Amino acid sequence: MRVFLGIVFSIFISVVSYAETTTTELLDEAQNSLKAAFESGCPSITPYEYYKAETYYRIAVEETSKLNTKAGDAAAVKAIEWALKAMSKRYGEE
Amino acid sequence: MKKIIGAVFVSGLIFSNFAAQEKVNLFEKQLRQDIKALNESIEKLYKLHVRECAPQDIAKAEAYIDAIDGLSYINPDTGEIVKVQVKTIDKIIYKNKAKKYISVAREKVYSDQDGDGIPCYQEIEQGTNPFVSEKKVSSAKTTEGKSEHAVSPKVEKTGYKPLKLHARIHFDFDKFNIKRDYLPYLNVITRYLKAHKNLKIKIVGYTDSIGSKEYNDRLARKRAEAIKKYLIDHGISPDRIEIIGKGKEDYLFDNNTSLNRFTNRRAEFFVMEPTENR
Repeated sequence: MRVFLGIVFSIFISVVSYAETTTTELLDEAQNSLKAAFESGCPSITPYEYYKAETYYRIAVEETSKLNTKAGDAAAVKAIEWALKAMSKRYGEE
Repeated sequence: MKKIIGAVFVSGLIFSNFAAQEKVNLFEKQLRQDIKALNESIEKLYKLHVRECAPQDIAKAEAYIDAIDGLSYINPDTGEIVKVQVKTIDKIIYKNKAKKYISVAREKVYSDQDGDGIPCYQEIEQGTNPFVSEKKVSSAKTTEGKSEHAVSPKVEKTGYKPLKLHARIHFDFDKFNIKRDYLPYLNVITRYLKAHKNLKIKIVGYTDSIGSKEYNDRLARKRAEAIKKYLIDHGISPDRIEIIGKGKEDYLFDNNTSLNRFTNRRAEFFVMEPTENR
């Protein structure tokens, strides 16, 4: 029995470790990126990029809440991209 | 009989399927037309400097239009480009949101945000800051009392009548050549000076905060000289032109953003009437 449980546990661990990035992870990352951009003053210095990121994040949340996780993932990735653009533009200009 | 009923039933199903397909296509067609119209509106707004006047609203509108059109992204796990469609009901919601933000952006472009009577897009074209009133800036400058403006009223009281004309043009970074966009302004001043032979003009050059004081003083002087040369080339006597290079002084705005620095890199014209000519 112990051997069986050990095998099941190791399969579970390996599946989890090789699993794809989840929607929750992407949403969390998008939120963190937005937070970092906000704290760097991007809403006033690079408003175009920041608010584009924020809108994609809102779309991601809305799509995920409607169980359209693929669209949620796509929007979250875009939110991360635009938040990074806002940050790089903000620090690139100064 | 059963065969006939079966055939009618099957053909009915096929026909209804086609009708539904037609409806979906009509909806998609309408949606595509709407997206096209929205994109055209955005293009028009870009020509009116919407990125400067309403960056927040235009960014939101663009994001929603992108979502209607299908979200393309690089999958972090596979590295492939994936295009994901949202549901039909979401397309309608996002389309309405995009329309709303485009309307707001258009309103901001045409509105006078700082209360100086000039719409935002015109202020950008002139090179002034659309969010801070020119009147407020000039009154703030006079209250500071330590700059050239504190001296110039004295000059006006003793030697000149109040200003006849006040204008300014702006320069690119580290440049003193006159931008083609400002030539019409200079031509207006030239014509005005030609029409009023008794008037004199004072040109004051300024720079932004980047670089050493000595370099910026020289650059400011060169900017004023470039305009003096232009006026002389167009028939204004050098005796009527006075130039000053102020350099890193009397900023109109702080130098934290590129737009503010551009606004500070300027040459101001003061067309004045000497009292002794009266």
